[in-house]
Amino acid sequence: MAEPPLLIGRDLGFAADGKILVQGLSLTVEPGTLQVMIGPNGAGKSTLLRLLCGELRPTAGSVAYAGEPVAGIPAWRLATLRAVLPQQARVAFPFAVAEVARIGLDGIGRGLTRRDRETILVQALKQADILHLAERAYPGLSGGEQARVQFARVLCQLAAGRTVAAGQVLFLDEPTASLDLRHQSAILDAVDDLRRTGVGVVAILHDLNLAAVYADTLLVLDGGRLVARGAPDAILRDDLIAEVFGVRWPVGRVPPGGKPFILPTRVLPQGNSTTG
Amino acid sequence: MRARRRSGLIFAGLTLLVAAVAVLSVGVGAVPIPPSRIVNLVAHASADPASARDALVILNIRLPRTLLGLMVGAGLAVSGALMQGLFRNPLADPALVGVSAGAGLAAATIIVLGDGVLRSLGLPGPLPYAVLPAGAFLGGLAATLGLTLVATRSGRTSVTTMLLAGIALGALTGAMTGLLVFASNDRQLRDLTFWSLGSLGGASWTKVAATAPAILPVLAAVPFLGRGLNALVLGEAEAFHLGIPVERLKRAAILLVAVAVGAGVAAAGVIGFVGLVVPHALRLAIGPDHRRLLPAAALLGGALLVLADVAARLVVAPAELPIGIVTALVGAPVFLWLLLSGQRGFDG
Repeated sequence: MAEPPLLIGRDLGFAADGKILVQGLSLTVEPGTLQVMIGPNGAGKSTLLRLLCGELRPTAGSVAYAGEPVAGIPAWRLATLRAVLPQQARVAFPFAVAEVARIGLDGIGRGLTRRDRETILVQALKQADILHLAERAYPGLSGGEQARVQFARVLCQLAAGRTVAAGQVLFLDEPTASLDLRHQSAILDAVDDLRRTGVGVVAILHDLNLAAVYADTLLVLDGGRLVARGAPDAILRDDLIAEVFGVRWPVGRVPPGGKPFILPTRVLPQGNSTTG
Repeated sequence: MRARRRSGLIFAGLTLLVAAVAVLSVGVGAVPIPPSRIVNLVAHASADPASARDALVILNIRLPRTLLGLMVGAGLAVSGALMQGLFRNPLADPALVGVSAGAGLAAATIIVLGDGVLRSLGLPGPLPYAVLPAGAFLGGLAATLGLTLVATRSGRTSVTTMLLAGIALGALTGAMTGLLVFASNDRQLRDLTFWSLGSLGGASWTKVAATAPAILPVLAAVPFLGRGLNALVLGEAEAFHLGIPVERLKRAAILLVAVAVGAGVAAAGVIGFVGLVVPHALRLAIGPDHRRLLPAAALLGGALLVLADVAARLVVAPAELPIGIVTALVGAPVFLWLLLSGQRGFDG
């Protein structure tokens, strides 16, 4: 018996101030999958993510969680069905690290015992490698440490949501952007573990090599449209990279015939990036 | 868990402070009454004429004055904490939602033009006393609603737009109030000044009865907003991701502030700094968690305003200083000190 998709986005379109940001995009999130959106700046990746998580209402098309239109799901229940890791989150007041992470538990974890909540919190802090920072004030941390606190907060939300809802989707907006190498792989390994437990993951990544290693499906966006979709080895090719990103960076394989990788060479003169 | 025990102690301390300040406020004034006699007097008024006079002073003047001060102070401090949470800015003040500006303009209009309007309508003056507070309350509400409408587009209220529009509204109402001041006579000018500096001097059971239905429900609603405001600290989108109905929360907070501050201004005039300083000081003591901060702000705000009122009564006795002068004289240096010493209160 096939499991129903966790999330379906159909023919999604979004326009703001007369500018079309996303157009004709469809996407299905199955349990236990990790899809990665790649594309140049302004391709519509973040907008698509905000449409899928219910933050923005699409101007065309529809989003449904387990068959239920997202517009009809109250915020508190939506929070049990999906979690979102933002690119960066400023915290205006000197909350301690553990307090920020605990915010992920406060709403949907109300049914849990205090002991369970504490277990989830400590587990999340450990997984995000910030247990040693638990008492520190969030605003004083480095960007990378703050990103890990947000990840712990998201882990708390997912763990609490799991006690209430069956299928969950995790959205990540550039989760590795401010992390050092060790924490880049640590966070993506943790995400991969979540995927194994049945969470459907949709991530935005700019590092194509990380995308190639961790994604089972790549979604290539450009100009608000989906220009390619498929397994990394199938779609990461020189011509796609040149066309979408405007760089002539050859795609290699490690080992030969294995995972694709991309190293910089030089920027195409006619590309939209300039070399000053 | 150390923090939990510490905040328990602080709550116990704050409650004691409120009780002590209340006793002080009831006992201090033109007729000093020692604390030991207060409970005794209120419990069973004796036939002794001196005692009867003391009981009268307590029951009809000082008790309503103290209760009014506790309510107004609690309302102002809670409103400050709500605004700072809503705007995610430790410098936000209840005045930002325009309620003080609207209430002030309404009050100035009634003070300066009220009797003239009555006369031109051929009605007997002077204006009933209740018109002024009622008008101020409605003026404050109207200003806040207007600002909210201006800042709301396709169902979303932008707190930034609201803040900037609030500054514009403040300038506008300031200018109009200035015009009214220009047009006022001496007696009206005195009323205006007194109003704009605040005072608990006119406290009565009627005022208490008129203020309680506005401020007490706000205080009762506060425990339900803490969790949402905590999530809002991460950002509006993030709070929504965490299951908070953000737009509803914002509107509820704005409405509660408008009601609490509007009622406070109506009862005691414009009183500054309580809403700004109290949440600040508390954040240093018990941390920024709104579930503790909001109730603690109610206690400390009430206690401090009553304390300021005691000072206002004593400093130039038998005359009284406007309470707004006391709160600003004490509040501004304290705020500056918090600013410079307590970097933890800011995001640095």
